[in-house]
Amino acid sequence: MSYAYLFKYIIIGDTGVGKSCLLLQFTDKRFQPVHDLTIGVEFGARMITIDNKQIKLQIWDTAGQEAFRSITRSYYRGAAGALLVYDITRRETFNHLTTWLEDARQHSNSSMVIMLIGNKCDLDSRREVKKEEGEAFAREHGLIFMETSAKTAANVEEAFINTAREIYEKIQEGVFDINNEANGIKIGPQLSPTNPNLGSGGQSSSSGGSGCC
Amino acid sequence: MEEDHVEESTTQEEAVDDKWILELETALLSSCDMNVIRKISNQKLIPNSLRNEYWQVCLGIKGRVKVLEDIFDLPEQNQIRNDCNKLVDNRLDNSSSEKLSILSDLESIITNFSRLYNCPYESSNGWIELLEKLIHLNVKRDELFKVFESIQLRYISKYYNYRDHKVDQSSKSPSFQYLQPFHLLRLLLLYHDPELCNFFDSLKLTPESYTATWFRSLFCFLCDHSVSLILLDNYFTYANPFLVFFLSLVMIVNLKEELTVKTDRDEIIKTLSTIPSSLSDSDIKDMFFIADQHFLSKTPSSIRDFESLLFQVYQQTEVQSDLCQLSDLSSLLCLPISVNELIASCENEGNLHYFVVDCRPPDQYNNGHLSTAFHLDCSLMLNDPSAFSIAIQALLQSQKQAIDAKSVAAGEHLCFMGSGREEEDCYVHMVVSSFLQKHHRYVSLLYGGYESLHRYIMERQIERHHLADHCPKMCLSCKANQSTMMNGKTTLGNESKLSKDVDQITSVFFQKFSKVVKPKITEMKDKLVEYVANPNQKPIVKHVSSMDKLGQRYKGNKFSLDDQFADFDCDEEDEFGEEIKFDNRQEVNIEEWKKKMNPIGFFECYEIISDGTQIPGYLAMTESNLFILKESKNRKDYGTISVQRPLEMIVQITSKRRHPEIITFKYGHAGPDNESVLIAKDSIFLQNPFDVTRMIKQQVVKLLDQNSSNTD
Repeated sequence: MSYAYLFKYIIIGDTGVGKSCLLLQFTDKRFQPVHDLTIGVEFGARMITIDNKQIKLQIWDTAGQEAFRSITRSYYRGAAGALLVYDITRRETFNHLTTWLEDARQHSNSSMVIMLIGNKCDLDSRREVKKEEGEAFAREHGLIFMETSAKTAANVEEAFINTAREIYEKIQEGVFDINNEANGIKIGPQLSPTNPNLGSGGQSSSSGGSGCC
Repeated sequence: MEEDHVEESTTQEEAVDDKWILELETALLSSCDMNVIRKISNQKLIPNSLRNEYWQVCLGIKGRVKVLEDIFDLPEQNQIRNDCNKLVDNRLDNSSSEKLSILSDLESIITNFSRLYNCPYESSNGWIELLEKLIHLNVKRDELFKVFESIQLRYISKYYNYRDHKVDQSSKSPSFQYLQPFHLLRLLLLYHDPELCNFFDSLKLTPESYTATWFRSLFCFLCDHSVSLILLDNYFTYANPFLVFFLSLVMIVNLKEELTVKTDRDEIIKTLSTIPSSLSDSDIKDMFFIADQHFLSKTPSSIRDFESLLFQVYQQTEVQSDLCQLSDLSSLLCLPISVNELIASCENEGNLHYFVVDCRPPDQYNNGHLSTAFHLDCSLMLNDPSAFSIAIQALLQSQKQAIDAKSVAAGEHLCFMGSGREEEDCYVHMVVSSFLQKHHRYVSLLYGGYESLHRYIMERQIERHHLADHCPKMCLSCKANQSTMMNGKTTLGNESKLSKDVDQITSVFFQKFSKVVKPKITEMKDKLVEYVANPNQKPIVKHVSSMDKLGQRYKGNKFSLDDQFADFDCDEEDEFGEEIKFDNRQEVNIEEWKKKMNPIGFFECYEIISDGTQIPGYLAMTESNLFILKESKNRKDYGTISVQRPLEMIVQITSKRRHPEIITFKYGHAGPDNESVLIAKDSIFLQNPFDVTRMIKQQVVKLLDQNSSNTD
């Protein structure tokens, strides 16, 4: 399918916070309560529409274990957006956010959009981290914030799409250099024919120009 | 009657038994080496009376003298005394005077070992557990110390004994050094049974939670003493410090079905950690056999590089691979393979054969790659997942065919190769992850990627044996290192020597080729190959069997039925500058080989290698293959197979105008546009070239006819 833009995302956070479940809910609209631990890195994709433009999200889901940090790091490079996830029922996953954030900032491009996600908000009875704490952390570090539930699908769409919208706005403002693929943004076949200057970063495709308005 | 008969046979067996025991005894008395006694004992039960001698030889400590000190002033001395007391009081049923002497021996051994190696005593070192079994050797204190010391240093992870290394002081959790052996076990489990490994990982069940007691006492802690001693007999006979991992694998994988239905982590840990206690005398032999045959022999020998990481005393090797420098195994995605092992395997010297999957971007692959490597375009995984899964299918299919054809570069074991640069290696990691997620076993990653491979090859100037398509001007690794580029150029020069003065007799039968090309090959299948293997990739021959139906290969429009003289263009000569040789270094008895293979034709010849040297040997043709055998230098009637080629791959047989006895076979397959792509050639000197070549041509025609009728 043709698209105007392709954004690369990376999902990070401690093991067991629900990264793979969020991805599955977003790409397949289903929830799998029991699943295998992510080995290394997995990958998912979905098309969304912003401002009447088709945008393909290419999402990298990483293993949360400490040991695989060095592998995870290589995926920060070339990501336009990051979903930083913690589990509202486990305080320690919230406490580790600082290290994750440092890691992300250090290895990514400076304009990467980071969305902080407090997952498992359906388990309110077991809540250990208040929503306000999440909000405060996000404000302090300049992140967008949402609480989601991969189980009930609450806010899952929004989390991915709001991140995309933020990236899209940054493109409009000229913050992102879209011709540099290292920023995690590709011009799709929809846009390239109408704007030859942007074509270099795009994919070659026969159906160019079709969906653009 | 029957009973009598049975008795008789047992006495006979005993008589036979006695004989080897006597033999062993004699050998042990003389200063024999390990191989001798290993051969004599041949995995039989070692009698306890000879055990100490046997172990001394195996452990290489025979005749060594240790002088123990009688100073007992360690800070942990009380703890030591208590634990020794507990052991003697509770676990031994000797007389009280014996107990007293055992007690003083134990304390002395532990105290001396602790002081000598500067490792503090803790109950969790497992020393007492090991010593408890060793007491049954019934030897003097100093002898016992030697055995204990040797086992600790050679066979038990050094981190049990390291001061301050066991626990990370800041987090109070086990230190990363202490965890190294457990990480290795996990990697090995991942290699042999990714499904089970992933099951454990998902339950956050790490190996140290159930194998800590196994490792620290070589399983002795839980086994009863007779089982322990038999186990140690075998252990020292195999003399491989990594056996502990493979024995663990046997035990874990053996319980797989039982374990995977459980969901409670603690229950699984309990089941696992007590496995050794259920071992009986008779299990040991089988267990070692399975560990050796099923796991050890199917594991990359690169793990040997971790010996210095894990054990206090290790074998010094001349050539150190990059893996020796690795200090943390926890962050590895899968088992790493050293460049050294990969190259050895390409030279048919390693214990395993690898199917190498090159995951670098296409342009990098095209400017130089391992001649046996398959290319897999990883970007497909992101951009076109369905194409990617087709590519994977094709890859596995090719691998299977290569294995069926017993090709040298084929292997059940997959070795993935990235570029060695972080920014690109995220792709190879992604592909490896996807294989592991699909529970594909025998998955490994070349440590250091192409960058390391390139460096290794250039340093040793073995470029022409291992690299294909190498273009120093474009190759990123060459560009990064100007000096290696110079090497590349000098080697390039030698290649085209042979091309001059070559006339060609284009052989008879090539029009038939077009019939052989399967009309039924669907477009998709063609596509498969495109995804997996770059069309320019020549060394495909190594992977592809003569039965291969995947791609177009035998079209050769430029050839005609008539013998023709045609000029050879230089470009083509360059194309197959890389010689691909079937270099099976194992010598075979030529007569036996002939019996086995039953060749249709067998002729004396001289193989001419690229520098002009002539090597005496034989040319043999079976129904489907052409072989060149090299005569052994040392043994009469023996030889090595230097080349094996499927007959259908022959695209040209040429002779030199001035020396008609020199015949050159050229092999290839159909490339794009039905141009034949030449892959390799062999030149030989023959006494009766015309008879021989006629015979070969006839056989090829016959074969092609058969093939085309089969496909109709």
